Amino acid sequence: MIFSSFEFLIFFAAVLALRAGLRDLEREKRFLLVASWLFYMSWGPRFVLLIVFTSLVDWWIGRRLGETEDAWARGRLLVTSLALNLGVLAFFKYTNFVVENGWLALRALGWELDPVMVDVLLPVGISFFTFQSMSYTIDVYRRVIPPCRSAVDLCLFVAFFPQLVAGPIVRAKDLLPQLQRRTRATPAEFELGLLLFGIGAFKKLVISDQIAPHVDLAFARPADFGAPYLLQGLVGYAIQIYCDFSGYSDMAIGVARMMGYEFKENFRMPYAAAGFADFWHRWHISLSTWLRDYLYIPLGGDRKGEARMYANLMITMLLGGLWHGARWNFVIWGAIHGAALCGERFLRARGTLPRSGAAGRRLSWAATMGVVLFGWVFFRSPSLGAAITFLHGLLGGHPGGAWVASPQILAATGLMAVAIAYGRDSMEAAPRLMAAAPAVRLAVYTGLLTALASFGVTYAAPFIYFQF
Amino acid sequence: MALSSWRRLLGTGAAVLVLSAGLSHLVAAALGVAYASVGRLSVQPDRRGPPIAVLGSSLTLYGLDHEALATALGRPVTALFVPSGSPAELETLQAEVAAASTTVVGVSIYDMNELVLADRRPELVPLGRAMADLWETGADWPFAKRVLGQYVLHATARAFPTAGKSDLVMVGIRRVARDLAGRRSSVRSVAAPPLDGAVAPPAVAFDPRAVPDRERTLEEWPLEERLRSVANYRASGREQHAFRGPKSLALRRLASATAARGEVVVVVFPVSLTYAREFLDAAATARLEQELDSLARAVPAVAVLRLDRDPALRSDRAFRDLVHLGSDGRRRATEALAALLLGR
Repeated sequence: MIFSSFEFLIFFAAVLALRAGLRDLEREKRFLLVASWLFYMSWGPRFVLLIVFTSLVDWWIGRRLGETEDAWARGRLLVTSLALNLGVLAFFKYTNFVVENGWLALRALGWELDPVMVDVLLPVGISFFTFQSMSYTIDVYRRVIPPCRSAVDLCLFVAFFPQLVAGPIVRAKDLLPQLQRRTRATPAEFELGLLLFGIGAFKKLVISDQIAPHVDLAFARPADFGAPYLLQGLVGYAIQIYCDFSGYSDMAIGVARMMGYEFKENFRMPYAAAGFADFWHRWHISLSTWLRDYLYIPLGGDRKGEARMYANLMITMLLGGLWHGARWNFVIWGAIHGAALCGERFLRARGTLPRSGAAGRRLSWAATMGVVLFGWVFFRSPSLGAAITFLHGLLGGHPGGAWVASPQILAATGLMAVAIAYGRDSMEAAPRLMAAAPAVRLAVYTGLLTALASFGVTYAAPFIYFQF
Repeated sequence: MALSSWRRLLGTGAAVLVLSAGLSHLVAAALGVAYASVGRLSVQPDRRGPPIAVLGSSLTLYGLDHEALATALGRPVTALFVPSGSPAELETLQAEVAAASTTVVGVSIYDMNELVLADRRPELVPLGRAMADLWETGADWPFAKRVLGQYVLHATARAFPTAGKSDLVMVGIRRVARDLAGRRSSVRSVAAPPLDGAVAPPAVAFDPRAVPDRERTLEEWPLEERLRSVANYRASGREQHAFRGPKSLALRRLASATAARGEVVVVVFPVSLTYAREFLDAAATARLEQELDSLARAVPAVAVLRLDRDPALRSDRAFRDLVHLGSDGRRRATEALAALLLGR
């Protein structure tokens, strides 16, 4: 049940209508919890047990953390929670990868064995809900938040359907307090939520899904194409993944806002970034801040010397890459971004980066986009070999390769350029639009709906980040 | 205060809906956005034998030379075509040709793929029938959702005629842009062969994003066009194949109903070599064989013409695109069908 489907619209309308009739907060939370589990079960019923199990264990651990002051006992409880969440994540997400690479390693060592492969199914959204659940116990351990008294509250925090499947990764300190009161959207909040949902749907259905076939073609058969088409496909993919994922985030934030809940922004026009640190302040913000707060800083951050800081950055980005999936391509993607961040810090520390001025900013932007695009080749390619073939073609290695212009990608590139020049992402643009004159609002809303009805691809393609 | 704000929001919402619906109608009219209609073709030869009905999708439309068939047999031919259609839609339409003593039903592994849904399906297959067939075949929820979603979209399209037709909108924009630039569109709807004067010719558009020029065979397509066409099929989910669903049930019912009033020939059209290489595997073809076996068991009176087994029709030279026969292929297919009917 993806946000852009009729099925979800019916589900959401039913949730809103039934919730409006509930007068008791506890009942309302139980209702939202059941609705969220049903939402998750539409992807496959059995894995809901996994969410229930990890949530309940983390709730229990949180309670115990609140009851004891003994540092050793608290440490053990935290380790138990981390082991559980990371264990679940590792089993479902990385077993196939480890087994496959294990057999390859054995073969490389000269052991000729009949490989026994396993095929562990990946529960949708596992990377998101385990990170969310884990952050709760870490925050309770650090005494950032008090333990959650109600199991329903914690289960709802982990499973709340707007953010369950592909984020944004919401922090307990942000959502749990909102669950303590009966929340209803004001007309203005509802309008904002609806507008964000519409903008997200536009990004997904009108841009991302329209250009997807052309991008897929470039990445499916890179050897058949010359540099112009591959470049077009690569730029198309950069736009596709941004519109797909930020579109999903906008819709998730909009759905929550229509119910009266507030999520933080997840994207802030990342392709306007002039620098790699800047890029990561704008791209998948809920993950990058999660990695900063729960991995980079605990590793020592930049407090333990320059060499250690570079190592910490690399570890964080490598694990961030691996978080996306069990493939070497993601590790390489993480390494590219890690190296870029380290390089930027190194140059900045020595004052060799262009500081200010339009020219310096443009140079930084161009360098950032170049590396970001280079990284997307690995992120999107199905294998390392395919990525190398793609890069080889991109550098002119397929001179006789096919080439055909994709009007969809060219149009999307034009739109993206306008958006970059405008410089504001949905969360910033939507409130400004709502403050505009009524005629302007009406015109923009009408245009948005007409565009959705005319260009929206109805073949419901899943969001890219569902696979992570 | 809050109540009036809600009212204002509802008012804005209603105004947006009305204005957008109006704009959608304008866009549809300006760009000529509409699904290809059901094609009706009637050929009356000089000699008058018992009438023949031909039912099928665009594969049958382009797969047979209906005039040559009528002339060879000396019998009038009435043909009905549903773009991307299958027995599910033809079952409803066959009542129009109830007077025919011979019914030819064109199918293929592409037509019978349950995952390929005709745009006109919600108009031709009653919702009750669709639900009953989904239930009887034990369809899984994702597939049932796709089928039933077509009915929701069909209802939505009354207010927003462009809804669900983004491909056609894009084709329309490109056509208008090229017209404005004074150039002939290379991506255009392909008109069906001349039809009976009383009936408006259907604007048959198979794959609006990748329809080749008419005279070219698939073998002559430039590599990038072939790759794009394959990508378009893949993007719309047509690369997977599923059988034993509502289309199978409808084929059996259609064959059984038409067999009750005369002879029935099911013509199994081939698909191109490129299509087979890209999308078919042994399991898909085996499932089609099971499908045809169960048809033969359910309706023994049916004659099956296996054009898909004709080696001459396996080459891309016989095709105008991934699934539609070109002129050489059409000639061979027509001769084979005429020979079968003359021999019976």
